[in-house]
Amino acid sequence: MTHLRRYWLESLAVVVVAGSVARSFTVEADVVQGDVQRIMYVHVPSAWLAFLAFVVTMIGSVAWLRTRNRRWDRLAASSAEIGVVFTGLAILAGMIWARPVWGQFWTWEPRLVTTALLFFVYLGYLALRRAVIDPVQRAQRAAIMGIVAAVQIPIVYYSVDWWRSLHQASSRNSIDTPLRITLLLGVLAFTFVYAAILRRRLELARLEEELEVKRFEASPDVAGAGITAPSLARALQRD
Amino acid sequence: MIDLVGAQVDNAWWYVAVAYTIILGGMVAFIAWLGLRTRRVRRELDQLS
Amino acid sequence: MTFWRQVYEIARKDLQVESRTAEVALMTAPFGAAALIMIPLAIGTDAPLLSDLGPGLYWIVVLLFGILVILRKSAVDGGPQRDLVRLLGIDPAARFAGATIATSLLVLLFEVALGPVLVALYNPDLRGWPWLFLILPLVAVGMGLLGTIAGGVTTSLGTRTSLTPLLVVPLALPLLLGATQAFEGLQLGGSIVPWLVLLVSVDLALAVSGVLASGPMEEAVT
Repeated sequence: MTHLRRYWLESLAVVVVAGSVARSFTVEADVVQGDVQRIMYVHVPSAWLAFLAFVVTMIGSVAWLRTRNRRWDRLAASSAEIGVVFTGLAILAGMIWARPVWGQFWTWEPRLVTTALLFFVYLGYLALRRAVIDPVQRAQRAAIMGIVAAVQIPIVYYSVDWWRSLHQASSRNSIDTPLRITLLLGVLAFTFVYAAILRRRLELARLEEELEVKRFEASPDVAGAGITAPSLARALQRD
Repeated sequence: MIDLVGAQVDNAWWYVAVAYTIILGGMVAFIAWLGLRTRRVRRELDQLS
Repeated sequence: MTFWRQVYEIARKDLQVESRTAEVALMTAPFGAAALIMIPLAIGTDAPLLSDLGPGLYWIVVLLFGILVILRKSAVDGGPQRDLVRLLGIDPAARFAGATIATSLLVLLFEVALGPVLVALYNPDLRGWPWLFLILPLVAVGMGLLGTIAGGVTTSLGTRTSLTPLLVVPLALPLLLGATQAFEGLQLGGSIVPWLVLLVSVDLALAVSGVLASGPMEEAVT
């Protein structure tokens, strides 16, 4: 029982994902694309998860700049990492789908190009975080980049959209209800997955921060530490 | 009807299997990686305290 | 000192420092020109093909090699310089604007320097060339803004030279599309207004986020 209480989110995510996958395999095949279309039931939800994660990163960035509460920075960082992973997975699955349907792995289609660029933008965001040692500076710089990136993304999308559009138009109206329900179930399942992973990732971020403080406290004083190091310690202990 | 439509793409299920393996497998791998990192950090924390 | 005076002085300072090494004029621009000479040797020296591809290659070189303009030595203020500017009470937004203006002017210089190389080597169709007086500065300003923001968040990092390009390039895509499509539009006689609007909106969005971020940036870089 205590296990269930502790892992309720994870359990819920597993159950809903299992249900969603079971349904994606058993629902009737798409009339035009056939069985290949079943890939959409994981591709679209993981893309959704990635976008959701990046929106949360932006929210975390703004909130950090407003409150300077480290919790928000941890949220932004954790969410960005999840977003990058699922962007990568969504792109890969999309390519597997595109191979039989479009005849090639890659087309210069706006959503595809934007998603690929998104992957690199947030890879850069994570690289920036790794590069900055001071936790407050790291949070500050990452927040700036997180916001600038989020502002630019719609423009990137529209620019590519203007440039070329041959993607199947947003298919919301053209698909049958059973298929749509399957898709929505997938989206719901991946939202739970996001929440469950985010909780774990936040826990990790908190532990890592704790470790940073501990390491700092354990390290012997060196010359000059009186000038540079306290800012690091103060920053971490403030929360 | 499924048979009739599925015939459009050869090995449709093969593609589906690959895509699901990538996404679900990637998800599991990511979670495992998180768990590993968490354990490593926890162990180091224990050592320091 | 008024705000605009501060902007002017910061930009002037940046350009003055740059003029001592002339990094952009004497190093980055020749490098870009060398790239424009190398490309045909790799893809083929067929005259019509080069005339077709020339403008696109020009913009790629401007955007990718233009990152060296962003990374130039004179764009980096040392710790004491930053402290001094802060102690003088310079408005962070003025610092941002001044640095952006300096970088934009240097990117523009880079673009102008590569122009003749493009014309001489690739013989592109230059119909509607007066529009370039608008397109070149719009792209330069976009690069200047992106560069100042990305250069700001990577200040004094060991991996700055590798990280800045990764932050700039994906976000520079609208600039690339705006520039290349406007260029193509001129050749095909189509309307280029949407592309100019795109360039202007990219510049505006970046300018607003850059000015808003300049305060936090000041705090982030100590």
